[in-house]
Amino acid sequence: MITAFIVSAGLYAALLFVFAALPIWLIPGVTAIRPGNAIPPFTSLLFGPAAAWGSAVGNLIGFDILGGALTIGSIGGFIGNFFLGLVPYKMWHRLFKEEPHCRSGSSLLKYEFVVLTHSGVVALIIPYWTELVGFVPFTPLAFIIFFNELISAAIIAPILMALVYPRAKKAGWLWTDVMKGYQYTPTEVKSHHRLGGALVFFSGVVGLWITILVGLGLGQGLFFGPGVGFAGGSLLAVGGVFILIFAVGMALLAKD
Amino acid sequence: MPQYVLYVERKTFIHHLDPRTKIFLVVCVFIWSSVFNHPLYTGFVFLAVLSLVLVSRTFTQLKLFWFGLISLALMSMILWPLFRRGGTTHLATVFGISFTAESVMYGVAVAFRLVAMVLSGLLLLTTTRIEEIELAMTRLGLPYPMAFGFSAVFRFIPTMVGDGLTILAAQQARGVNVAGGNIFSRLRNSAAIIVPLFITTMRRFGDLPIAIESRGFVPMEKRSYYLSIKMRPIDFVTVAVLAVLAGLSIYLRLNGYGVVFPDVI
Repeated sequence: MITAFIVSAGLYAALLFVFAALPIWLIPGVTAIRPGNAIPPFTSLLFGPAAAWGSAVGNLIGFDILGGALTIGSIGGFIGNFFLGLVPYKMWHRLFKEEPHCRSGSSLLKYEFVVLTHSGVVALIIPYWTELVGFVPFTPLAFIIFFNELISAAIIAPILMALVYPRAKKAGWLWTDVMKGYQYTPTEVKSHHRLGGALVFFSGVVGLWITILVGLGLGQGLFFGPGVGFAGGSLLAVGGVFILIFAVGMALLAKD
Repeated sequence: MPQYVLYVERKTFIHHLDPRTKIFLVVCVFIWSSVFNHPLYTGFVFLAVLSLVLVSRTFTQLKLFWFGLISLALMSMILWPLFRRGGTTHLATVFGISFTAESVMYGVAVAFRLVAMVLSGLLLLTTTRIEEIELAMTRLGLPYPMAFGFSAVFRFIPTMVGDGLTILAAQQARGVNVAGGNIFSRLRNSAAIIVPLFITTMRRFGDLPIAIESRGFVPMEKRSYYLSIKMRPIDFVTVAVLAVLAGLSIYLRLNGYGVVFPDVI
């Protein structure tokens, strides 16, 4: 497990460095796509829980400490990146009987579904924290994180899985090779796991976009009355509900 | 080559403080700058942190970060007035969006807050060795296996970055183009760097658990350390002063001082 943790964290942090010299600009001068963002879902499916901690520590070291961005926002970054590494493995482990080799259409489709969900989850959690502590507004940050995460992970991570998964399985690198007694894929999908997966998807993808729309001022008069002066209060209330739904979904997925 | 260590060796008051005192200083800067949202107050916090950076003689080490800090401040001054709408003093209307003096002041206040926080984090990293921070975190209650994992990652990052840069050069020599083309082709080509790096890393660290266990590593056992840190009287005085200032800032906020918008952080 220690190897899996070090590789997950180190690879994530190291790739942030290696590709820093070759930025792929999304908005020139403002934000660049980070190919390293493909690492958390990839290591998550290979290494399981170790990758969740690895993603959190990898971002803390690679972005916050070595990048000189250690602030109160780093707490949200740590939590968000933890779920970035946790959600893909947990969803796959509970919901899909097929292996994540990405060598068939259905495996690839499931993989992209997981990537879409985990991108939405992290784009909900980190900006919610930065809005809560008065650091960076939710709406623009959520846009940037969602697309940055989604584009990198949706394109690179399936290629990585298709090339590496069969070797990793053969070499005994999967998390179930270390954590004996667990099954990598379920023999039957339980109804509460199905509900948990649906809630995580709903909060991470639908919830994210509803919160973004509230941040842009939509529906505030309808839901909170005409006297509301700030986008912040209503946004935090709506986003908080979806984070609660996400927590319930994760709890259902964690239950045996 | 990338810079892995921000620490600068100097003989200053701040360098000599115990790492736990400096971690507490960072926490206090977070508190001071978070409780106020008036630019005069957060500006004062920013100036206080900047003066500590100057006292620590690490200003030149931070030259790489100034562009990022200025961008961060500008972003805050532009974005917050757009999203934190409120106040009664109308300033201007641009493209149908009404800006108030209060929302602009809030944007400036948060800009000072952001820069003060980042600077305090950088102050910690430029005046304290990573090993000292890890030891301080362990003394503050962080479980040793977590501290060990953290330090192991730090130890191996230069190795992984070195491998990554070698693979990047080798693949570019073979004609893999990760520096040009459209977004999709560049992302696709970056897999040619990541896959060999992953395989190399797994092979390199495959024997790590055996190496650790052969040296008698027991995660929860009581340990002794080569490095030692000790709280001296000056540390206790510094912590007391910082705590009083943090308490004072919270008291001021609760009594309505230092705020443009009383309902938000």
